Amino acid sequence: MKRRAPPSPQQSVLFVFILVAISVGTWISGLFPTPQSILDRPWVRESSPRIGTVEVADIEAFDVYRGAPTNGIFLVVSLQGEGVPEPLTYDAVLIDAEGRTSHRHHSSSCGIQQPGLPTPCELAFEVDPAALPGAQLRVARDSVLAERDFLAVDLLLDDARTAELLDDPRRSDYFGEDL
Amino acid sequence: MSTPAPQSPGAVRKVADALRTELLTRANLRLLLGVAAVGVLGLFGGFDAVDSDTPRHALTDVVGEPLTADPVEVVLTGTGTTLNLVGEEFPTLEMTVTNTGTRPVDGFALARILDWQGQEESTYATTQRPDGSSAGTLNPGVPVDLALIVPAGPDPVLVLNSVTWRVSNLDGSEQFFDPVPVAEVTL
Repeated sequence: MKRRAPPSPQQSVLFVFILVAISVGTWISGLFPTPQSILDRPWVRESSPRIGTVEVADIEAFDVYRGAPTNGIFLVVSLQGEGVPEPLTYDAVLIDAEGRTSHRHHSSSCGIQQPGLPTPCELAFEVDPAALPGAQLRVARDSVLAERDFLAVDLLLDDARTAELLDDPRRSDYFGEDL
Repeated sequence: MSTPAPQSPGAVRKVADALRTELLTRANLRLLLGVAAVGVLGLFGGFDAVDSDTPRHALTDVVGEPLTADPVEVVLTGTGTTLNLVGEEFPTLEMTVTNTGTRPVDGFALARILDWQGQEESTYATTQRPDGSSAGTLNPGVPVDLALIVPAGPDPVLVLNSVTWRVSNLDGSEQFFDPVPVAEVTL
């Protein structure tokens, strides 16, 4: 059997060049976002034709909310919506000062918002009180789990406002009555 | 009855040559060697379950000590009891769980983190807060007191698993997957 000749220096250099070219090409390709990653990215804005606009009507702190105690604090945000294009409900996530995401407590939810008929709406978030100053709300329609379209709502929580809220938190029973 | 005619040496050699060249080839011998190696491994317990190398603690040794199972920290606080709606009493393991990550840990993810060894049932329905409600969502930075109903049977072992946030290969959703045991606690 005829023995194969070893690769020439030119062939070896070409082989290494091809490997380097593939590696560099892969690295450059990785610098660009994929179409799916662009679609998956949250779209945060002030108003949306799909949601309308939302303002914060009130903020309160509870250490017992609807009968549920907490080692943190319940931040209860009342929302006032406007311009909903069709019947929908609101859901939201709270982004705290450390950039962490919190979901609403299961005992709070918003009712159906009918076009032209704003309905009072209250969402409670069980959060770390130390990270409240600077916290933001991101409101979505229907469910934050399924949505990428968010309204950015500033809670206007500075150190003084947070301290005021935490100074005397409320307590409510299962039915929402004060304890 | 007649005696069989003796076979000629040529026929025997033919058979031997055929065996050597067609059956006892180098490739077949390698295959045989591989099968033999697997068989020997099997005889010496090679197919038995691997002993767990997850650290195992007695409950009394770790009460009050933080145990990390990403993305949560679990502090076991002791045992207790709870009643169901018809007044039956169940033993519980009590703990404080803090989400140390940056995203919420929902009840399904928590059930992947807290697991009883050898139990097929998820702990989703047997984990409750002090007010009797379900564990619900654990938001970052908030310590949550929980009671976990201890399953019936001898020597229950709680397994704490770390989980990883990633995209599902099936439906593209993002969830906590891939539980990996990081600690075991015997009661």
